[in-house]
Amino acid sequence: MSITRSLTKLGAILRTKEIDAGLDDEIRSHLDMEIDDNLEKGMDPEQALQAANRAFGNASLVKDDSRNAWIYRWLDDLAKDIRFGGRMLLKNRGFSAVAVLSLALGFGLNTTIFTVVNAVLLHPLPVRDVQRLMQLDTIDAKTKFTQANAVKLGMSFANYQDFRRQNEVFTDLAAWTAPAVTWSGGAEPRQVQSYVVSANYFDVLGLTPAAGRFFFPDEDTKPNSNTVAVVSYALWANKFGSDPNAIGRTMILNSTPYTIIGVAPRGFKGTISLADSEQVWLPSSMKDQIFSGFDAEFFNDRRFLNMTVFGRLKPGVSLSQSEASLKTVASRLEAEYPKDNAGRSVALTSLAEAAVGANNHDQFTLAGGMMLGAVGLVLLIACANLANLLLAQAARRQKEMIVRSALGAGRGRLLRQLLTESTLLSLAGATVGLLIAYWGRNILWSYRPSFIHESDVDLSLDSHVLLFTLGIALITGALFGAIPAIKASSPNLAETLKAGGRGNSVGWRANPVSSLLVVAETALALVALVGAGLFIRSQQNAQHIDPGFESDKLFMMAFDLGALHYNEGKAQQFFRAAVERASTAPGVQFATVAANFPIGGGFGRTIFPEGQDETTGYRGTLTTLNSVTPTYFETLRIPIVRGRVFTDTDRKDTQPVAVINEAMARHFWPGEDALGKRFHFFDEPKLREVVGVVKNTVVNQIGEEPQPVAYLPMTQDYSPFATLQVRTVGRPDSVISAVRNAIQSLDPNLAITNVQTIHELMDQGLWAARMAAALLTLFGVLALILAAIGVYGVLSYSVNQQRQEIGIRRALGAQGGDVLRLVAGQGLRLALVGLAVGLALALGFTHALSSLLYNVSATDPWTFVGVTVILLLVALLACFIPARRATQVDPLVALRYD
Amino acid sequence: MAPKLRNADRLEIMQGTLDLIILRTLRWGPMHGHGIAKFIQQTSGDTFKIEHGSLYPALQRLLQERWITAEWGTSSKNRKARFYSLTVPGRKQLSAEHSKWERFSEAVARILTSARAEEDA
Repeated sequence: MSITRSLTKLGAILRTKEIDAGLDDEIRSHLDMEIDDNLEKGMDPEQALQAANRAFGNASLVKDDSRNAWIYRWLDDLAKDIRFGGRMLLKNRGFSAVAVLSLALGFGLNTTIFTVVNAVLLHPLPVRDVQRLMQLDTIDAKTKFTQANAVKLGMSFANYQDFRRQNEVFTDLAAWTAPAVTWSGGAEPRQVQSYVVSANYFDVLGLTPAAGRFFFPDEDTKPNSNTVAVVSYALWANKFGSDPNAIGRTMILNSTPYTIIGVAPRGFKGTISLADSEQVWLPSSMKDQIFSGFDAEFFNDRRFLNMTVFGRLKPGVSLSQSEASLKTVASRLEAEYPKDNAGRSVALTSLAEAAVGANNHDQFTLAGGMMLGAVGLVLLIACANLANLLLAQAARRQKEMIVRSALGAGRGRLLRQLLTESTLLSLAGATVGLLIAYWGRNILWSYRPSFIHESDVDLSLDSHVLLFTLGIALITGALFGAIPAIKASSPNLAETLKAGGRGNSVGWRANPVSSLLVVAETALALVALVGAGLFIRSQQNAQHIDPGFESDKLFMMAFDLGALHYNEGKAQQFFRAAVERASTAPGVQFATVAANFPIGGGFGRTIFPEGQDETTGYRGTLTTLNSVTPTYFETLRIPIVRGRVFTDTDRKDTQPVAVINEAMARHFWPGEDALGKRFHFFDEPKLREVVGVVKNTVVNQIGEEPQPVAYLPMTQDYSPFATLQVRTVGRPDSVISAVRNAIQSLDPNLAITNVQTIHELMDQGLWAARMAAALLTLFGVLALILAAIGVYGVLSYSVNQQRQEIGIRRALGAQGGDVLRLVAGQGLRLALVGLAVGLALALGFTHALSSLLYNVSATDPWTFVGVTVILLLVALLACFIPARRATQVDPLVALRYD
Repeated sequence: MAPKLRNADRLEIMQGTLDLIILRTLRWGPMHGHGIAKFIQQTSGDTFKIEHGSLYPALQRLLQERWITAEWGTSSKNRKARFYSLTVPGRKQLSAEHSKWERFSEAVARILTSARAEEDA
């Protein structure tokens, strides 16, 4: 029964006009004619109808059978094609192996890269109906920003609460911020990632707990007493062994005990794609227990953009409607709080895109697109090679085609047969390709930087990936099977006879398809190599970019005194002790405490020079701050340009001072001497005097424009979150553990994190660039090899085909050199055209990559010239070998050839 | 399962013969389905009790093989009807099948007559 139904269904798909339009009419007219005859025989109308029906039999069965006749035929042909195709492929084992392997390589690379893109960019967050979730960010038209990409800025908690109350387009708005917290109570205190969230967070996401419960709607309303926590599935599995009794247990986080009430669903780790898989969620009403320093001080400040806010669109509300409605709320809030909200409005990003960072999505997409593009080029070249192989194959099978068409096989039938063969090849290639992808993914993944953990990214070959591979396999099978198939399926008897069954030289007129393929391969290889070259140059440059401090013999560790609820006095004491212990450890030259990681950004505030504020029409600039102890500049070896650095005489009760970098001096006081100038923060009357100017250092990432930084004395601007940075005399490795132990002994409850040399830290920062360069080089080299094989293959084949002609030329006195020039010239001419086309293509598209390159122009002449020369040499070699073989053709053998 | 069995059973036996008969019938010129049915009934002297309906799947098969083509027209009694006619490959097929059939029936006849001869002896 089910087969009947599926056949009928298949029939519905394949039903042609001939069957359907006609059959009903035809049967009716048949019956009418029979009735006419019966009436003539003298039957009455009733009898005539019955007799006609009886003679005809079951009409609906007839219709079914007629229809099935087509389907069976179709299935039968397919089965025959597959059997025959399989036999042909097995008969030409060498050909099949080469074709399958080169396709497998192309598919494998594409699948590998797609797996990563799929996991990072396309994998929708594991939440309900992610398309309806939007992130709300502040955009600020008034404050100046010096950082690239600082457009969407998060939202203050105060504004979030107003947006939540006044919003009409979202079912609800939730907010989160993600501080690291210290988990103590075990053997050793450790740091764990947390989300401090509004109680409706899980409801807005539409999640149900894997165990226990989520927060009640009012569980973020009692300051300091909502001591409940939800843990991620991975944390529950790794740290509690998936014990159901973990619900109700206590976790001490930042010195406060929380009761575990629930476990988040498997795979959910917040709305960030690249987050740690071990997470804890805490209610925002616990903020005073969780935060310290700036974060605590400014938590309720309407200007402090510390939260990320998202909401679920009400059913039927469009994106533009919601944007318009939110802008209205934003301008209302701007009017209501003109000081804090001046120039500020709101922007929406889909939560799925914001998962890689609302400001990073484009960069990620570009990088992912570039990688897919590079492997796409390799695949195209592999396919061009396959098409060439199939063409050569087709030429060999011309006789077979002529015979089959003479026997009555239609052109469509031959075409189908050939396409079935190329599709079989593709599918075989896809199967092997998946193996390559599996292996490639594991290798790629093993090179991930240490800060990405095993379980953070789900790199499984899921249904998306399998569909992708199947899709490209079928498309390429059809596309590249089609060219040779169309050519082969129209065997032209007359032409074949004329040419004596042999092909001609390579050249536009004689063999346009092969020629086009050679040109295309050369061009694509050039594009791939230019990409690789640019990224190699970029990475070399990145490695040589001076960070502005001496990164050798320097290491760091981080700790958060706020987690242990230190008061400022105790903390300052701790800092002094830490610096002293560290600097007296053997092998240590200097030590310092600073709020920020090297190249790790930092807390920023809006700065106005003296005499200006938000009411004077001056646009303040968001500037990175770094609180440091006096030894900071000598520890990092940042050169002093003007004035002095901090000393122990800069205390809380003395004149507030600052050391600024040259970028800040130039930004606020261009053309003036910044020394002695004073500035203040937004909404803060205290003036700070510039006592020194130092050289710029890299603040956020290698390759950035110099960023303004204001250094403040740790004594005047205390930060409970701090790093210890240590300069050693020799190699830092041997000193690290002694210093770490010395610091730990100051407080055994302190979680010490990020213990690493600055080289390791910088390496991590450049990991993406290094990886990109390595991968693009691999892809470029593969493209080059495949293209070389392609050119070589076409030319060798054509030499084979021209043996007789070459033999005649030799017999007529042509020298080896003449033949060499003739044959190599044919290939080289095509390669040169390919190079020209490739250069034009590369120039056109590398511009899009500028933003991913460090200090390299997208049209870097060295890269372009170098790559062209390499390709030219390879093309020469690929042409020379077959050409040389052509010179060895014996005139006699050639004459006897036919 | 049902239609497949039905096709297998009936068509395996009837298919080749019916195809041959239809092709042969169409040698007289284009004919519609009803005409073919009548013709077969009359020429065979009603030996074959063919269900008229069974012609149509056979006609579809022959169409696929491109041995016949079909065209809409008007019957002698002014009814709309589909007229089938032989193609060139159809003619070739007919003559091939025809001679095959003759050899086949000759061989069968010979076997049967020799068997009868034995019985008689």
